[in-house]
Amino acid sequence: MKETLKKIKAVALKEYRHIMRDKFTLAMGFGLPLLLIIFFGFIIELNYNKIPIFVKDDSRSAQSRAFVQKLSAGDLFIPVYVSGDDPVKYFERNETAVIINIDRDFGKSVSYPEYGKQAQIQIMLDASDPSKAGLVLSYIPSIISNSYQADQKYEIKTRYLFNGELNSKYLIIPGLIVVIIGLISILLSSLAIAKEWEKGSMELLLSTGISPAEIILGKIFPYMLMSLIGTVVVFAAAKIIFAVPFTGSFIFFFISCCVFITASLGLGIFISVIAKQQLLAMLIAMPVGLLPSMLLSGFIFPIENMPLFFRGLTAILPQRWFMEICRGTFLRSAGFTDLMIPFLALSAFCVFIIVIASKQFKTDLEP
Amino acid sequence: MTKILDIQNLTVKFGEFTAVDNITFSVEKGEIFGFLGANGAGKTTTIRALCGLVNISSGKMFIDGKDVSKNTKELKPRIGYMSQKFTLYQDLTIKENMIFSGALYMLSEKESIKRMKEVFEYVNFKESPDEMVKNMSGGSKQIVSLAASILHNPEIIFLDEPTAGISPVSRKLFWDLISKLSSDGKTIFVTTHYMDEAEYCRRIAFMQNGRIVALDSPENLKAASKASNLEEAFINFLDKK
Repeated sequence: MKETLKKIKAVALKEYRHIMRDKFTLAMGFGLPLLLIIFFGFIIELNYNKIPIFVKDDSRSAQSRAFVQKLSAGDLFIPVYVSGDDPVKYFERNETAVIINIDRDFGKSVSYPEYGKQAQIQIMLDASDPSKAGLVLSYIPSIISNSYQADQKYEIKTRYLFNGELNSKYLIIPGLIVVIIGLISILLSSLAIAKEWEKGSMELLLSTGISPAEIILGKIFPYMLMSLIGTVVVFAAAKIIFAVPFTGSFIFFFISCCVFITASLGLGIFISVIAKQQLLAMLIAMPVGLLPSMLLSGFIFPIENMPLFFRGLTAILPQRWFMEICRGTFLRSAGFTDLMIPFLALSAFCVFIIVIASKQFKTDLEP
Repeated sequence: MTKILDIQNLTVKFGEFTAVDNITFSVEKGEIFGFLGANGAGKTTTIRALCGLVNISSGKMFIDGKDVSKNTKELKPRIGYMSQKFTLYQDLTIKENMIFSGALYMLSEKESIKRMKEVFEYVNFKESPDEMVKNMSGGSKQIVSLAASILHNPEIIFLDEPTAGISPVSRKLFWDLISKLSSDGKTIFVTTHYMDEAEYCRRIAFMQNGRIVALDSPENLKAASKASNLEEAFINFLDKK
């Protein structure tokens, strides 16, 4: 045991020296996370606002203008008056996704119910973007009912919890932290073992009788330190640049970060062990680090909506579990008891990947 | 004299290719034993097999009476191995490399530095221990490499083409160090291309295509093949096959 610890310490210290002298690794560890969170944080925008609504107002009455006025309250819609007989052409030119036709008798019907005709408007939607169409369809009737049914017997009040402004940044930024930390951890460690093979120093290591697990653990520590500093950079950016609130337990979040980083480093080292060449390891690490966390972690696409097979697949991804922890601690003040399953799953993956990497580690020099 | 290395019918195959083909020989304690042969003759593979770095196909290897395949972990600290390829870290200083190599053999930082200084003093090595390895000449690198592989005071030292590509002066120094180690009772197992170096060896094995074609002292080899020097003897033995 004492021997093992001494060897792990020796490898860790040596690796730390490599890192401190390698500008590329340093830049990747600290610069890349900051760059990524700024880029992605500003680019990924799931909120709709300022949706143009084309209005064909045949009524041309004070009542119809009042109605359009109501649509434009808030930031969601921008009404634009248009005329002509063929509104579909606006869809074809992709100038708008919503066209509202106001009936000629709209003004009269609203002001004089005794006139005997119901006030009519027609909403035409370009449903090629269903989520946008659905949003519009859910908003416009509520605007109408709020405006014209003053005599209703009860009202519904909606209150949104945890993210009162429905700000998608609050969902995206904690998710981005997962994507970025996972990616840099995998990239950093994917070179760690392949480098030793390529430079020939693996021969020296193996001739001393050091075990694969000792090499792997020794390599994980310095990269862990780097990834943690990267995490602090990303976390600070989330708070300072994007003003995302953090409501949960810092200690639980920090421990989970350590576990997630170890899992990701383990995955990178596994790639390194298999590839044995730096370039190949890098080429594998890129998609492995990026694709699952973008597509299968619940970052953008909800896991509940995936087909059964993919839902099952996400269970073996550390990114998916850390995504739950990250969003839970940032937004919902969740602690260990709420997030026990993701935390245990992450820990299990950690142990699993390090054991597999050690087992796959070649200890002979056969070509 | 006691046999410290005993190799019986050793065969190493990589797929279809037989790198070492049923060789049997032994090395005595304290001798300088030379392996000569062209590239691909199986010299490096034999050394790697003895160091537990390749899987052998058949045969037995004993170091000081212990089966190498079964006692790898126990035997590795008793072996020093200097690879043909430069295996130290270019972006570390000499001292950092030594401390690292030493730590893997359980030496403290102090012990490693002390041992390093002893070796360097002996060969009159002038580079500063704080010099980056990448800035050193080929000869210096080989000296540092050797020093790293003997820090832990091993009984048997395997040197795989230790003098390839270094200057004659460095080679001379290098062989002085090897002779000194031998006189201290260490067993040296060395491969080389240089026939003049082979003269330093007490016994030599000529290798060809994975087999040992001749094994004896340089004098006997020359006499047996009626050659005036080792190079001629080597050629004569290869021709016979």
